[in-house]
Amino acid sequence: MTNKSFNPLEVHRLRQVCDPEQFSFKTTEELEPLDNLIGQQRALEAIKFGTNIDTKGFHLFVLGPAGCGRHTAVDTFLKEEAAKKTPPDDWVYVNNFEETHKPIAIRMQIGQGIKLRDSMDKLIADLLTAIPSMFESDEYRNRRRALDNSVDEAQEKAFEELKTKAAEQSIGILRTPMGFSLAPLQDGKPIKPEDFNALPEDDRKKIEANIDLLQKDLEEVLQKLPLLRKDYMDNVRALNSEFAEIAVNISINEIMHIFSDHSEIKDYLQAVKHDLINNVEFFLGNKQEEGAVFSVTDGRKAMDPFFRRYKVNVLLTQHEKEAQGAPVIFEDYPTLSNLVGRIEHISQQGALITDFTLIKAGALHRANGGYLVLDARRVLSEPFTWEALKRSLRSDRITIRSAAEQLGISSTISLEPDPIPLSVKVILVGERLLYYLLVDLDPDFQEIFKVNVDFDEDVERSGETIALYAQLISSLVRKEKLKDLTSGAVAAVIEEASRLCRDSEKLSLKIGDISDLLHEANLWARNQEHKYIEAQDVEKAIENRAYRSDRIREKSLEQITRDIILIDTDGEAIGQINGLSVLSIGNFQFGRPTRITARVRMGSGKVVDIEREVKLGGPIHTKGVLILSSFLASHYALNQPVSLWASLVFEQTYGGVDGDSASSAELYALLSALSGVPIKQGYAVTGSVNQLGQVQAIGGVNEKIEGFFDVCQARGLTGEQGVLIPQANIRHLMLRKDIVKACDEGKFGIFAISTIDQGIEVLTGISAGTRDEEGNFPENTINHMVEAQLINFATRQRDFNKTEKKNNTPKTEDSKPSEEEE
Amino acid sequence: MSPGSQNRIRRILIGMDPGSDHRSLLNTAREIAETIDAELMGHFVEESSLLHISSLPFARSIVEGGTQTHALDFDQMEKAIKRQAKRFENAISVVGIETNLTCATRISSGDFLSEIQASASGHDLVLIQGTPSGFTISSMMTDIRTLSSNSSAIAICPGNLQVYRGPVIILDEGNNVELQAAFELAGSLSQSRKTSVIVLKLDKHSETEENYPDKNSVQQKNIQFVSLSNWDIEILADILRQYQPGYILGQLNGKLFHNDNLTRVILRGIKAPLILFP
Repeated sequence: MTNKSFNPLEVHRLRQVCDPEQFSFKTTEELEPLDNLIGQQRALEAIKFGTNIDTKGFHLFVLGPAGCGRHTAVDTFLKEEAAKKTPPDDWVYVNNFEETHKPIAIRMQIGQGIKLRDSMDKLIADLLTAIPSMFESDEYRNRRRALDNSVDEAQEKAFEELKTKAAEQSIGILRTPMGFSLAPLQDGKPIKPEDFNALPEDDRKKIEANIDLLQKDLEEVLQKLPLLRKDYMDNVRALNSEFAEIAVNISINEIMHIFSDHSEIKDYLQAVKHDLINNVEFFLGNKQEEGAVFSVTDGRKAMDPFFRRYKVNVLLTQHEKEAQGAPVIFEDYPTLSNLVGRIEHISQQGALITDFTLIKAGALHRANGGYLVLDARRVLSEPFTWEALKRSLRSDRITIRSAAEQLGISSTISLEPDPIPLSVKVILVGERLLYYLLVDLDPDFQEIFKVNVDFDEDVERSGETIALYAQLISSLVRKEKLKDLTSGAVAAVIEEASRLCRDSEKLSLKIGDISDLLHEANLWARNQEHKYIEAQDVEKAIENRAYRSDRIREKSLEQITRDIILIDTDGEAIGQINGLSVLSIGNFQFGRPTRITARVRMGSGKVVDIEREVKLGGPIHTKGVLILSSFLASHYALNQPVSLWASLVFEQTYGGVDGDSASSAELYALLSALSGVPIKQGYAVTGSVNQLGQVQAIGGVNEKIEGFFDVCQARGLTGEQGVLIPQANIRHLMLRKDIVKACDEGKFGIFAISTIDQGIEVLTGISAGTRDEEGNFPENTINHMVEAQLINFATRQRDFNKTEKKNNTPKTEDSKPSEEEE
Repeated sequence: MSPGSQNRIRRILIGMDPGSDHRSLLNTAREIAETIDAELMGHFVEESSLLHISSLPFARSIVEGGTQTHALDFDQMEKAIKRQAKRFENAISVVGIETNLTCATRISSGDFLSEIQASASGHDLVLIQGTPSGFTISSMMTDIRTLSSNSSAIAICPGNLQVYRGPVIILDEGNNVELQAAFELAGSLSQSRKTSVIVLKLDKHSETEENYPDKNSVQQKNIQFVSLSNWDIEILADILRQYQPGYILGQLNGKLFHNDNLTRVILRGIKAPLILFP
C-alpha cells in the first residue's frame, strides 16, 4: 500500500523480530543460569551501599514495579551479606521479682538462653524434691514439733492456770456461742439465776467481785492467744526459711557457677534465691497451715502457675553450632504484634491474665542484628504498624505495646517489658507511587529511609542483553522446575518481553510476568507432549492469555462492526476522522477507534471542546485542544483577527476523555472542516501536536494500531487502510504478527508522521502547501484553503460588526467610531 | 466385701453443744458413716447452763482476741443458740443429700451430758467435740464413761482437728476382746483412705500377731505391728505425732485414758479423732 506523497513504514520496523539463529544454543539446558539481575546495576549498588553503611537512618526503600525482581535481588544480596556477619546474641525475659509487671530483658551469648532456661527448669524440678525432703528430715521435724508443742502448751497452760484459779473459787469458764464466759458453779454446774438470787447479799457480792477479777485475767489470756499464734507463725517461717535456704543454696550455686561471668544473670539468680526462700511453702504439698507439717509433693506440683515466675522466656536464641550469620527476616504479615512482638493472655477463671512467659518475639526481635524486609504497602495498611516501625527505628529500641494499649481500651492486666536495644537494617519494598507519597506526606520518612533502591522496569535491547535474557530464562526454568526452552521459544519470549514494555528497543524486566508466561507455555508444552517448550507453546500461551482477557475488547469490536458505534473504515468525509484511544481494564489494555468530528463557522475565535464543556474532558485533553487553537491562530491568516467558531467532539463516548494523543486527529478534522477537503476514513490517527505543528509521541501505540486493524479486518481489509503514528513512536512498535503480515501484503499501512502537514497530505491526498516568498500558500493546497476560509470568516465578521454597530448606535453629531473600526 | 459390711457400728450419734463449731465434728462423722455405711443422727443440745449464766446480772462474755467484754443477755443468748441449732440441722441435711446416708437431727434443751446420754441408747458410736461447753467444768473422761454406759464407742474430735492422711493407729493395751471392734473399723477406714493400719503394742501381754482376733479384716499388706517398751505418755504422744495419724483407736477402759490429763496429752499432740471402744 502506498500513498501519493508518503510511504508506509517498512515491515521490519513494525516488529523487532528476535532471530533464533543468533543464539549459539539449541535449548536452555545448555545455558549457565544467571546469578544476577539484568540491567539493575543502579539498584544493586544502592542495596550494597545501604547495607554497608551503619549510620542511623540509612534504611532502604526498594522501589519499582511489582514483578521486577526486587524481592529476589534483595533476598540474594542480603543472604550473602548476612552470611559474613556474626550471629546475634540471645535475648531472654525473666521475672522481675520486685515489679512483676516490668519483666527484665537480658542479653546473653549465643546459645546461653536455652542453657539458662533448662538450668532454671532443672532447679525447680530439683527443689520440688529437695525442699520437701529437707522438711521431712528428723532435724526439721524435731524443731518444728518443739515449736508446735510450745505454742499448744503455752495456750493450754494459760487456760489451765486460769481454770484452776477459777475452780478454787467455784467459778467455771464456759464456751458460749458469744464467746467465753465466767459463771459461779454449784455442784459443778453453772448456778441457776434463782439459786444465785437466793444467796445472801454478801456472798453474791463476793462472787461478783471474784468474777470481776477473773474476767480481767480471762481478757488477758484471750488477748494473748493471737499474739502467741503470731509468734508461732513467725518462728515457723524463720525455721522454714532456714531449711529452705540450705536446699536452695545447694541447687542454685551450681547455676551461679555456670553463669559466674554474667553480672545480670548473677543478680537475677540472687533475686530468685531470695524469692524461693520466701515462698518455700509452694514447694510443699499444700501451703502451710497453722500447725500442719508438710506432706511430700509429686511431679504435678511443677505445673502450678506459681512456678511460672521462675521460668525463663527465651525470646531469641540459636543453637550455638547451627548459628550462621546475621538473620534475614521477611515478614509477610506485618501487623503491629507481628512486628514489635506481643504479650499474650490466658484465660483464668474468666479473667485474662498474663506474665513474662507470654511475651512473644516480633519480626524486629528476630531480625535484630541483621536485616528485616517488609512490604511497604502491607506495613502502611496495618493499623499502628508504620508508626511503631518508625518509633523503633528512631529510638533504636523495641518496645512492645499492643494496639489496645495505644488506644487506651485495654481492660486486662498487662506488662511493661524492658525495651530491647535494636540494631537492624530495614528494607521496605514498595511501588514508586508509595515512595513518592511517603516523601511528600511523611516528614519522618526521609530521615529514616535515606537510601532509595530504584529498580528499572526495562533494559536496552541489544545483543548482549538478549544473551543475558536467555540466561535469565534458563535460571527461571531451573528455579521453577519447568521444561527447558528451545532457542525459538527463547526468541518468542524475548519478543514478548519487548511487547510487554511496549518498546521494540527494550526488554521488560518484570520477571514476574515472564515467569508467568513460562509457566503457561510449560503447560501447553506438556499438553502437546513436547520435550522442550517450543516457540509455538509460547505463542499459544500469549494468545490464550489475551483470549482470556478479551471479552470486553470483543464486545467493543462487535459494537463497531454492528454499526452501533459509528466508525467508517472506507470512503471520505469532511471534518470527520478516526481517533484512537486505549482502554485499560485491570492489567489488560486494548485500543479502540473513536470518531472525532469538527464543525466550523464564523465566530469570535473560539474553539469549543465539547468534552470539556460537559466536564468529560480531562485537563491534558483540554490542553491539547488549546494548543491546536493556538496552532490555527499562529499558522493561518496572521494579519486577520481569528473569526472562527469551531466545535470538536468525540462521538459516542460516554465516559471521561483525557490525554492529548488525539490532538493531532482533532486538528486534522478541523483543517478538513475549514478547507472543505474530505478525510479518507480508511485511516486512523494518533499523536499529540504542539503549537509548531509537530506531531509528538504518545503511549499505547501498539494497542491503538491493533485496535483499528481489528475493526478493518473484521470488515475486510481494503489496502486503503492504515494508521498514522508519530515518527517518534516507531521505536515502540512491536505489532502482532498478523498485522505485520497484512502490512507486508500491502493490505494495511503504518505511516510515521512528524508534522501536521505530512499527516494531512496522507489523509486527504492533497498537498499541505508551504508559504512562498511572499508569505502565501500555493493555491489548491490544504493550507491555502484553510487560510482562505479563515480570511473569509474574518472579513464577514468585520462586515457583520459594522452593520451591527450602525443599527445600534444613536445618530448624534459627536458620535465617534468604535475601537474595532479604528 | 465392701468396707464395713460386717461392721458392728450401724448407727452414729453426733452430740453437739452450742459452744462448739460443728464442722470438724460433722466431717469426721460423715467420713466414718460413709466408710461403714452407717446411719447418722445429729443431736443438738441447747445447753441450759448457758441460758442460766446469761440471766445472771454480772454475766459477760469475751471473744478470742477481743479487747473488751460484753454484757450477756438472755434473749441474745437464746437467739444465738437457736441459730447454732438451725445451722447444725441444715448441715446434717446437706450431708444426707450429698451422701445418700440416712440422716436425722434432733434438737433438745437441757444438760448436754444428760441429753446425749439419753440419745446414746441404740447408737453404736457417739461423736463429741473434745472441749464442749460442759467439759470445761467437769471431768472429760468421767463424762465420756457416762456417755458410754450404753456400750457405745466414743469418738472425740479435738478442737484443733487436722485432716492428716497418715495411718490408722490402734493402741493395744492387751485386751483383745475390746480390740475386735477397733480392728473392724480400722480395716474399713484404712481401705477407704488407702492407708495402712499400725498396731502399737503397749503391753507386754499383748497377743502375738498371729492371734489377733480379727486381723483378717485388715489386708495383710496394710498392717504393721510395732511393740513399744519403756514408754511414758509424753513419749507415746511424740510417737503418735510423728505418724500423723488419720485416726487413733483405743480402749476406753485401759490405763491410757483413765484420766483427763493423760487423754489431753494424747489429744494435744495428735490433733486427730480419737475413738475409744468400751
